[in-house]
Amino acid sequence: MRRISGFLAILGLLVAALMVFFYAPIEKTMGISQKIFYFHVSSAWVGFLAFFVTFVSSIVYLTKRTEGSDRLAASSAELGLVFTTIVLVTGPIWGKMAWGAWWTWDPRLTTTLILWFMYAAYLVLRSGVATEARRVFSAVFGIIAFIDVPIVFMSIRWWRTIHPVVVRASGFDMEPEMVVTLLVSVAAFTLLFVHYLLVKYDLEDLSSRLDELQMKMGG
Amino acid sequence: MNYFAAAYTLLLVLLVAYTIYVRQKLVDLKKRLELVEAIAKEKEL
Repeated sequence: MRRISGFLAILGLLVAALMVFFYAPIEKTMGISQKIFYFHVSSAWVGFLAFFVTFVSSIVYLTKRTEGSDRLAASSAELGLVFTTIVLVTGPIWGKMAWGAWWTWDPRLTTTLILWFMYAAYLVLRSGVATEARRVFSAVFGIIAFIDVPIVFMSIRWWRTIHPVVVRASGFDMEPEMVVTLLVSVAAFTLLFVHYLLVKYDLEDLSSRLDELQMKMGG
Repeated sequence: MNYFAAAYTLLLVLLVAYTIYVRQKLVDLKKRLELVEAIAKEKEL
């Protein structure tokens, strides 16, 4: 399963990279640097998806207390943090080109940074041996932290901001070739997320088996 | 400076670094689990 998902993820990323380089048109004002956008938006989407998985898994854990849902929540939160890091790295590079500044305290940028810190705190909270109390507390934290995701998404619609709005109620505000490349890139990053999630889940499973065995042995 | 090349390189570096970290941790945990299981069996004997 993991091999298939890994193969599909690599294939998807290759197709997405080829489309970004050779198929997507070069934007007139920003030139080739505008193409950062394809990886930036795709990473943001995967970050949101990952935190949503953590949110749902946390609810499932609090209601059913299944260890699998706790592991899924933890695995997905780490991946969300990785992809949000990509967003926070690629965004300022694009911003330097578009706005002439690496960082501004714009609502979209600020809420994304808060999101990153909240899930970093979630992972710090989870580190060490996963006791029942810690799992419950993490699940509650995973649900509360998710509140920031819709705020990040809506921030460019609710407040005055310099961040571009790509997806409008009327559709995508760009060339059709750009839309196709973006959708392929989003699909490729989603496949990569699924692959990483399967690997991380196995890792969490191994880690908890090791903890249990060590506890039984008395340390 | 080509901003696109910089962003693309950083993206690749981050993804490759994370993949290596996860793979290495998986290998390490498997080895530790095997070791702990062997010790547990020995204690039972």
